[in-house]
Amino acid sequence: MKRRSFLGLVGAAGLGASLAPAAAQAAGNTHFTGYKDSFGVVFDATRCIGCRKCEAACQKVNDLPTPKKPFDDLSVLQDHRRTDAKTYTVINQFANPAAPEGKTFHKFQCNHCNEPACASSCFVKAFTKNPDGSVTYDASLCVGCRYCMVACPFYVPTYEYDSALVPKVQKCTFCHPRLEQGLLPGCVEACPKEAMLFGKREEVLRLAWERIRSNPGKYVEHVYGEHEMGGTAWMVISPIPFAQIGLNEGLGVTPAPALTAGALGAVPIVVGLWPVLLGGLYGINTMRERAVKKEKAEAVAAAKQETQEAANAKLQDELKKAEAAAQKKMDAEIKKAVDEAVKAKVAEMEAAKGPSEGDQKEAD
Amino acid sequence: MDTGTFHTLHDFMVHSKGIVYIIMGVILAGSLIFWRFLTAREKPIRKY
Amino acid sequence: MSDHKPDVSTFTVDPKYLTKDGITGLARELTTKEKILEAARLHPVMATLLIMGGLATILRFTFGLGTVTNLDDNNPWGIWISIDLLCGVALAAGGFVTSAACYIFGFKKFHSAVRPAILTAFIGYALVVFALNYDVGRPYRLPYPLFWSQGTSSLLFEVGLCVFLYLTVLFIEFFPAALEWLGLKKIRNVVHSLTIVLTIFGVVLSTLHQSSLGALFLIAPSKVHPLWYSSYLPVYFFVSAICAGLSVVIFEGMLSHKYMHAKMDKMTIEEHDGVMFGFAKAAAFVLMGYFFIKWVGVAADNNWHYLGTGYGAWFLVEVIGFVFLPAVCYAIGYREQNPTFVKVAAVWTILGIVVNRLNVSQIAFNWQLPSDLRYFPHFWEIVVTAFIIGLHVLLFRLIANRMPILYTHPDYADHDEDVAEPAHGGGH
Ligand code: SF4
Ligand code: SF4
Ligand code: SF4
Repeated sequence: MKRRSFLGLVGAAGLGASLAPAAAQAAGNTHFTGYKDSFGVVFDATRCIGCRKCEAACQKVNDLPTPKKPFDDLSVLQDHRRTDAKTYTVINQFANPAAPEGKTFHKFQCNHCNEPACASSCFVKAFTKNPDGSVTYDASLCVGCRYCMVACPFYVPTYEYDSALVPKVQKCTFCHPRLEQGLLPGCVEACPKEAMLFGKREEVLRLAWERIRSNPGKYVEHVYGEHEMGGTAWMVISPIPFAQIGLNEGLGVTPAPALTAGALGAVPIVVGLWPVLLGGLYGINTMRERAVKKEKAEAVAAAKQETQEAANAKLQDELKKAEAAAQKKMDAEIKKAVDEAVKAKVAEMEAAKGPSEGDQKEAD
Repeated sequence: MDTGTFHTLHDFMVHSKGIVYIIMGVILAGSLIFWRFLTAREKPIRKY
Repeated sequence: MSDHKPDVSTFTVDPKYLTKDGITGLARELTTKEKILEAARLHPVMATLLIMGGLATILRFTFGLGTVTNLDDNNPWGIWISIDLLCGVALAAGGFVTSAACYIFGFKKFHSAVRPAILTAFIGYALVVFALNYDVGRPYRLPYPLFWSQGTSSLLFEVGLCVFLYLTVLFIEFFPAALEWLGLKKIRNVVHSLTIVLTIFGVVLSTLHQSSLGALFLIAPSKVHPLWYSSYLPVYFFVSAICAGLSVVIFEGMLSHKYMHAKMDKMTIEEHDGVMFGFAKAAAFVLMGYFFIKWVGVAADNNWHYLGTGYGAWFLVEVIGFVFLPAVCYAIGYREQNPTFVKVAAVWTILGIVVNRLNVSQIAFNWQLPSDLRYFPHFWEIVVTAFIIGLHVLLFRLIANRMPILYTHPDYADHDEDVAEPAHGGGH
């Protein structure tokens, strides 16, 4: 309890965003506190009587189609309803035994988030968070992918499913055109019980906490939307736990863009590093291939050389052998020649021993 | 750090990621060109 | 298999190409009459699908999504996103996985698997974009995010950009086949020399958009059941897409082998088993890694207590029944070199991917809504999805029957070598 009010004070002082760690995570040490003087609304569920005057006013100021059942028919409150492409806001009724009529009401419309999930998710920037706090949609850009509807944690954007070729997303505009003219939102203006507290967001948030604190036991000590999904322009205070008036209490405080920041941040790193890794792998493979090829070539060359050398050696051998053989032959020849010459000489000498004989012989 | 003209994280991200996307294009083209420069003198001239 | 002969009776084949190794080669240009006759020769199931698909198309574009879908303001995405987009893209991952394995990781024995995988991926992505035209409200504005108003903070922008670029890359990668078919040698060789660059771009772009499809759901932590919501979603989608891609290549090889045998050349047939077991081994290991990191996600968010709930039981069915068991089945198939196990595992894994994508985008999505507000597909939504799948089969057969997909064009056999071994110069 103490902690909640402390956080409330901090939030009222406009420091809430600085405590949201996700924002810091998403953008280094940068944090964003939103538009300084943006508007906000606090819906006080203890005041709403479920008269549906706000629904009627919304239909009127936004030129929406007239519904089948008139706005003073309160029987529609028996069913849990949601907005559709033809209604921007609905009142839902919830059981609360402690309340005078046994009922508590909740007004459903776009909450105009400080960091809108719809805007963050739209791939054509069809949504804009305006300085006045409203989140508006530009149908001239919309492709109709419906990712904004997937992204919105409050199930707000609706879609013209019956249009074959020009469907639009529809949702509460915070009466942005009226705010620009200095007028109150249609629903706020029409409420007979002043269940909606309109003003600067910081201001109405402060007032909401004042109401909670000055009426102990009347409210749950929490302003729904102060921190949910990074904070919303439209907030709720309630006499019974928020889950009992159809609100999701498990949304967390991380603003939508921070949820995707990590994945988006990884994208350029993949682009930068994958070519390096894959190029490297490819390079390694080519190099290995080349090395294998070179090795093969070298092996072949070596084998060739070996053969060559062997052949050479053999040749040398052969040559030597041949030479030796030739030498031998020559020697033999020489010997033979010498022998012959010697023989001849001997014969000559013998002939010369007896000159008479020799002369005689010569005479022959 | 100065948040400049940005009031919401969303606006900041649209802007900064826009620039990052352009850088990514430059990275893809740049790494290709640099690879070619790097390997252009390799003996068998690659042709891609 | 070396005596494999093309089935000449069903195709008009230029006899010039019949002599070399039983390569079937180019089909002779059919006369217009023959073309019409052949196109008209459809299986009755296929014919019904086409007629129903046409009808659904007319209904969608005259009466709008409200008439043909069960989508509403709480459930903006139906099976056209879950199956046609999420499953379609995951199952088309075979293209980048195969070309990366062959050209970057150097598994050249997978070469014959590259072209069919690229073709499947190309048709797959083209049909994903085609199917998106049904789903988005104003299809004529689909180029807006790229060229008119860039919502750079959106993960869907990232997906759109990458799918667009990757479709272009796939088209160029597939181009050589068409050019060979048309006999345009010169351009074909220029394009072919880009192979490595295109493969790397393909892997980069695939990594990004496969993971970003998972990251689409990061923005809605309150809508996706904690067991499926994790900051690791992008990693899960990417890793499981690799498994899907590997399995689809096996599955598709299996089908082609059965029904388009006549169009395969000797190399494709001989490499088929090698590709199958190589991919089975890879798929087994990647699946097992995926199985492990799934638990890291549970532990990181301390979601153990959800395991005791109904959703927890279903989570266990997915993670054990459709990740762990197919991984084991692949492993046995690879160890025993048993094709049946591998094929069963492939189909099993593909089913597992479908289960996972349906879980993240439908079953675990909006889990807190009361059951009467939950979505169930409309009859016409199922028709359109079946129609898209039918178109895929039809287009693959149409193209693979004509262009050199399941065989190497005899005139270009040597060029393929150049890319596989660029060391001796890609240029001619
Ligand atoms: S409540 Fe939903 S639609 Fe409204 S601003 Fe927030 S995210 Fe957008
Ligand atoms: S449906 Fe329209 S507004 Fe919503 S995200 Fe898609 S393009 Fe943006
Ligand atoms: S602020 Fe305007 S648009 Fe929104 S609910 Fe009120 S009247 Fe309707």
